[in-house]
Amino acid sequence: MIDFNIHRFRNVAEWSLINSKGTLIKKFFGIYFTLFFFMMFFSRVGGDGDVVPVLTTVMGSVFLVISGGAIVGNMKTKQQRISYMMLPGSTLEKFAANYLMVTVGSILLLAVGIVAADVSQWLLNSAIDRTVSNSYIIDALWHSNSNLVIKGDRMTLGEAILILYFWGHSLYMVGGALIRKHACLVTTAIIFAVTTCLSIVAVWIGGKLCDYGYAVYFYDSALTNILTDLGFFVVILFNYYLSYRIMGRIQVINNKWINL
Amino acid sequence: MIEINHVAFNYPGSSHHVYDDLTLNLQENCIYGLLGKNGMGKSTLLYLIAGLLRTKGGNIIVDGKDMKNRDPEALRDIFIVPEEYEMPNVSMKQLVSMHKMFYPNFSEDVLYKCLMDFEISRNVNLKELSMGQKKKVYMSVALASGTRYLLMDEPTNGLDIPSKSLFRKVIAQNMREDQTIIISTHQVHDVESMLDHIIVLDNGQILLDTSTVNITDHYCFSYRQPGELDGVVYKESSLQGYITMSERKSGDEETQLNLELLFNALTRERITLKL
Repeated sequence: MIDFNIHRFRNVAEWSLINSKGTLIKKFFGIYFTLFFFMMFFSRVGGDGDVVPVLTTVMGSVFLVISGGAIVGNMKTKQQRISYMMLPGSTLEKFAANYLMVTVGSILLLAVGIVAADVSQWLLNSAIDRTVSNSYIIDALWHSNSNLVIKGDRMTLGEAILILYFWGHSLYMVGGALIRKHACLVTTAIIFAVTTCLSIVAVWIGGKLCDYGYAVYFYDSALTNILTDLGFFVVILFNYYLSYRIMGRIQVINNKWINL
Repeated sequence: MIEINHVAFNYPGSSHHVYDDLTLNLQENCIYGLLGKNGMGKSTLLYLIAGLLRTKGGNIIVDGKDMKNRDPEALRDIFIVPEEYEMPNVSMKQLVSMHKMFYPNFSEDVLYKCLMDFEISRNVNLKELSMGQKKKVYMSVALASGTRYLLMDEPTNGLDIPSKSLFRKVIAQNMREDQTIIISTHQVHDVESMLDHIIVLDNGQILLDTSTVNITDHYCFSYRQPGELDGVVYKESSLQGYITMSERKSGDEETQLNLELLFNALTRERITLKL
């Protein structure tokens, strides 16, 4: 039975936000200082300012994807688990509150971190030497790439990024819910191992097909794009459902390395 | 009412069976003492009742709701005070509002009265509390939440001697009339005067499940000299001779329950009470 009450959900989300305040602040400063360091380094020492937007995008994307691993980040210790599990809210409400935290929360955190780092480097550079001061955000917006817009029947870069983000994020959510210790690290290792194995198998199968005289084509049509999107959508939904079910099965004391 | 029906349980990743077939009914409006030595499954039982652990067999029904479902309505009526507790990094005002959102019967009056009884200022800085003070604040919040069931795991651990008596006073003065409190402890002396009902657990088995009135109706607890040990069921030597537990005969005056002696009689000598 689906039990979701919007009023209770709001309370759970508020409770979760208040309790995660410390972690959010730590994450913010982590993002802020890392980006500030790189921005300062490349603007003053490295000299090549074009690296910064690329580096920020890569680091931000990695942060957003692996933040899915923190889906039960507010249930790490026994006391945290007791507090959260005893809250009078359904598992779905608690899951949704945590989901908001690792999606919208992470995006906001990253955005605020980038802006704060950019403003700080701009102010500091202005104070040191006005000739090298500029805002990376303004520069990036000024030279924004229109390829990121989703249009027509082609799978655009933006669409692919969105799919990859949600897919990776959902995988980390499953890993985060399932694995008790060092969830992000273990999930990364598993994803790496599985991807490597699948790639080897795919190349081997492709090679075998070619050996038997078959030709391998990659169709780029509206239908294949829709089917690809649909396939990813189903997998992403399944991963979300899996992490929700695992979260519902978490027990306050568990000696195993997985939450089952 | 809490119904524990044929519960079997072992911790995930452990082959040790904490419970094989535990059946127990806990009535309303009572203070239950869940007693047992360390590692006998007292805290486990509290966690099972609260739905924090999943049974391997059987079920636990609280007011008609199976706790394995972690139903919000059922959770609204249960509050657990764990043995150790970390305060969230918030002010007292925020702590109050955080609990008010979830517990419709939350009473600030009760909270501040409990804090006053525990000799803690209502404007206390939660970050600067000792473990014992945190426990007092959390117990106050628990009582103020006004849930029908209050589960307390080793509530007197970490409290100094004056605070233990304050604890009894706070519970007696601030518990709701329709409230059921289950206190799990191995420090039996700290809670003996406040219990209505006693459950003694040993290796997942129930050694005793009865009311304190029933015990004092059938047994006497008194000091005796070495020559006066007729009819004694269990005795321990003390500075005044022996402290004894004996069957109460007609005409004997009712004595105050000595829970520690009773507990030792049950767990050390495996005495079966005739109730």
